[in-house]
Amino acid sequence: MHRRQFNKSLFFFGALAPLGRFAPKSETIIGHGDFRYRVEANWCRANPTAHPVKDCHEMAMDKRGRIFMTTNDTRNNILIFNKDGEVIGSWGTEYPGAHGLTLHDENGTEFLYITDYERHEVIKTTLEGRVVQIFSRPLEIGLHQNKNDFKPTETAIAPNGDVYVADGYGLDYIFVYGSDGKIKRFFGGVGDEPAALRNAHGVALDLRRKNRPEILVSSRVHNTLKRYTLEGAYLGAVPLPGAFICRPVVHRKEVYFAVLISKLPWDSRSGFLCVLDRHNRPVSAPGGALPDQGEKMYQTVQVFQHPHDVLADADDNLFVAQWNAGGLYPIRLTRVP
Amino acid sequence: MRTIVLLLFLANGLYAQQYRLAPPQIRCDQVFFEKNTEVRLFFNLKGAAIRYTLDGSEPSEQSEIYREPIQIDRDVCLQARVFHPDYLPGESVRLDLFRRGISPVPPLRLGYAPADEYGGAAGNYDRLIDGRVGSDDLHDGAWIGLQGKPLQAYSVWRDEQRVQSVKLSTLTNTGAWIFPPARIQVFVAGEDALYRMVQEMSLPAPGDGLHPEEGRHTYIITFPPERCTRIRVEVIPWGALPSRHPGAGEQAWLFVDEIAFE
Repeated sequence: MHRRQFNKSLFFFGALAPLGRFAPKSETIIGHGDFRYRVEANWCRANPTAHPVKDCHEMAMDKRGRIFMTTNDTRNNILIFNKDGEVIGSWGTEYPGAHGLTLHDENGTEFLYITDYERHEVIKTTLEGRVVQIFSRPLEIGLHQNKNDFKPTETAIAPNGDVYVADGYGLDYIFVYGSDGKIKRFFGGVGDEPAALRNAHGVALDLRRKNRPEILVSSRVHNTLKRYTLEGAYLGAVPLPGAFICRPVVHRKEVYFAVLISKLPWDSRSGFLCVLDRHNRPVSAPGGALPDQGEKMYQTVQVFQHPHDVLADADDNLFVAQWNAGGLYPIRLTRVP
Repeated sequence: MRTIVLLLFLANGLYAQQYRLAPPQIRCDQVFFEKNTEVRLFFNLKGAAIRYTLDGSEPSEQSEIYREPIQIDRDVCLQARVFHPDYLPGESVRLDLFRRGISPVPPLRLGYAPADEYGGAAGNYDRLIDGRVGSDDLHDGAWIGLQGKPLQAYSVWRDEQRVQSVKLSTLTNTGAWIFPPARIQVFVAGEDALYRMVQEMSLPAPGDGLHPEEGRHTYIITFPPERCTRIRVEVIPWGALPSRHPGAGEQAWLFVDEIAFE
């Protein structure tokens, strides 16, 4: 309602504007139902000369509310933002394929897990960038012929400290390592059978159901979220036709996704976001359309180029990092009541 | 006045982030149709209007608003685009629809077997004459794909037909090694099956050919009316991928989803 009044008050200026594209425009609200957001495209105040980015891959927030982000620009692989979008720190020059970023609180101390598909390993670091541990290609299980068979994209840490590594650009397995770095088991693998994956781009621990923890894996080329037990037994699929989903992000009772694209080719700039409710049903698609009568999901408004990850803060606002977006910094979506 | 202009720019600085709309969704079962066909458009965004034209022109805010499925009974070029007061209009989508005069008698035969995963395994190539066109998904069951081999399609009728054109729908997706044809040749024959060429269309090689226009294209090959019971359409592939292509030197793929005769 407020928005309409605002439009009217500016109508006078609009009429005077010589060019259509200068017509006053109210704020942009995207999404559906309880999950609607105001787009804050200029939230980030980073200076591209001081803190350059190529692809912005994934984000994580620490206890103090600082946002850590991976980029494959080796001048600063990790950028740290405050809630106002200012860069308050950066580090990392040795992560050419800095992709997945997971933050894990280990008895009060927070650690980062960086998946680097170019280095073919997962690197555990302190928040300051000191390397603590490296998880490499599990040669002992004999699956990998060469190093390009192992290109990890993302991690999830189980309550017992096990590290689940999604090999999304490799053979599409989920490899489970003990906290000591030794491989324990693996599941998934490339294929079209129910339990198999294609482009297993992201993995997440889902603790939404009491006593029934699950591992969620995005099978991006299948446009499907797949569910497994912690042991790797297949539980079921959540089809999201048309949505090339990046990693699942479990926040409160919902799962959030950045949908990279909704049609091929991979650089079609047809992405949006998607929110699933506690029953894994799509309830909002900011920038896109919800699935309707068996039709595929599709983009409606080109707010995003290629959204690659979404981060939710304590107030349920979202931050969106984008791949192949011409060096664009993350944008903020402020939840509106 | 100067103050007003300044205010205007300030207001725009704060609120001028205008996003563009995406193209509308378009569905049509029979893009090559017998007598008539139906096109459905949709775009699920509150306040959005889909506008369309049938004469090949870019839809404007004055163009017809889409309210119900569009009935088509002639060759048209349909273009549709979304408009919304809060957003910039997006790109339009285009769909060329064709009436097919003469129905081929199944089964359609091919001289060279397609790749197993693109129609070869099925062993039946009637998808080329079912009126359906293919999508971005190369495995959608509409495409016939061959690598380094021509598509040689034979259609045989019991009774003599009068044929004067062939319409051929193909895909260009250079990133997936799928290139447009180099040449299309049409041969006809009577009961004796002695084929003679009645028309040939050579497609210009655009420069080094790394990026011919992407997407699905329909080529129309016309010739003076011929009476015949047999027709053979030969689609000669591009050949080796050009030097600037990541797969340079390898054979290009040819993808065809529909052939129609008139």
